[in-house]
Amino acid sequence: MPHMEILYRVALRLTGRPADAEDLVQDTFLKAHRAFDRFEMREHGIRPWLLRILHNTYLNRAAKERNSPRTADSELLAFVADENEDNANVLAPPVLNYEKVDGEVRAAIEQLAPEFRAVLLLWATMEYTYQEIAEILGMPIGTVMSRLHRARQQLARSLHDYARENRLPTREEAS
Amino acid sequence: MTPDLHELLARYADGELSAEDRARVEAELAASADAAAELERWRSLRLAAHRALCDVELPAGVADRIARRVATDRGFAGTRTYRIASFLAVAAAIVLFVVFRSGGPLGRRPGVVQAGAVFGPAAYVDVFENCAKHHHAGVKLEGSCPIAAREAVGRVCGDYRVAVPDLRPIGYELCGICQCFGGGCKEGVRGVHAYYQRSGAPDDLISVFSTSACVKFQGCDKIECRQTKRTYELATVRTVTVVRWDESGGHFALVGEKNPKDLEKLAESVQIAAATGR
Repeated sequence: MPHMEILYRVALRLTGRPADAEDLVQDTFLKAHRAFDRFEMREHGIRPWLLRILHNTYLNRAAKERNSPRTADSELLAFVADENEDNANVLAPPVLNYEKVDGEVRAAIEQLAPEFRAVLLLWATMEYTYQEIAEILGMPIGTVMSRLHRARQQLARSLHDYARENRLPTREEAS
Repeated sequence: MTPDLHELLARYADGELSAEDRARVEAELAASADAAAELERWRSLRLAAHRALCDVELPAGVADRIARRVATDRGFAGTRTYRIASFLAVAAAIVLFVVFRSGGPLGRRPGVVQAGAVFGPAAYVDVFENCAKHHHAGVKLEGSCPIAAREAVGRVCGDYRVAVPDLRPIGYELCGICQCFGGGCKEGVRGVHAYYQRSGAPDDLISVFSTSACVKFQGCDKIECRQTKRTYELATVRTVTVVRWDESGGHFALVGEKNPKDLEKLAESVQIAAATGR
């Protein structure tokens, strides 16, 4: 089946467990078959549509597991509060050899809340535009930009910590 | 550097700024080596994230397990083989006339079926239920409904042409054509789906599919197709029956809410005629 490897990759990064990723991809294909009438061919073919199904399926599962689904409003309020706090202290990525920090970057991504991780996954692995990510995830483009900002800040913060712990020169020390 | 400029640099690296903001950032980049260095770090961060996230390969067996599950979950019923002599094409026969372009109707060599995707019978039934029952038409017809035996051009999946059968001798009128597997134009199965309605019985619908790749219910094999011999595959999903076969380098399926034996009988009366040079 086309796109399976990409769907699996995203599913694994969302769930963190191979067995859950396989189940998620399987459910995605089954739902795609059943919902085929709602598919509209667009420039990038069927992949964004499959990713959207996968993401929604993942969110539904996560909500069931929590047994207390968060509403969009509470999610937004928590996010706005965090963002206001962060805006006062925006970090740029530190000076590092970025070809040797894949492990740190991966670990930082795994620490992200699912809603931020989903945006970052599509941004980093698919090279979709913000608008395309918004369509896949079914959210306004402004939300994509905000979440991507938060996710990147988390990565930058983790890499600064890594540099400090390993006594590597950060941007501030280097300049 | 302001917090705002950090974020603008990150979005500039993504190619996501308005013209106004882009001009502002480019002015800053021209004036500040720090800004240029930071831009490179944003780009490096994205590349690092890409590398970190894309080192996953599909484990062995996962693709097969999922494909099997999707195919079988949708209700495969069984396979039967029939040999049909050409003399069975009697007066009441329906002629399904596939117009071959160079290399075959869909760019293949006649007689050789390419391996294709695994689709269960439910894939046909889904299209039948969603397109035929809702009179959806995604392929432009060279005429208006109802028409018969008229060429249609599949604009979505390429410029191949498929003529649709005239079922009026048995009381069905053509009502529309659409692409049958939407996502398949680039990487999967492509084809067209023509659907018909019995005169005076709006709920009595049947569909004919012509697909670009061999789509067997239990997978795809490279097989030779001959006009004088057909191997039918039958499946029933809910109340809908699918009869599928390969012939003359083409791949066909007849779908309807009918008793399997009745639909088989109808399929037996469908004669495939191929012509070259169109």
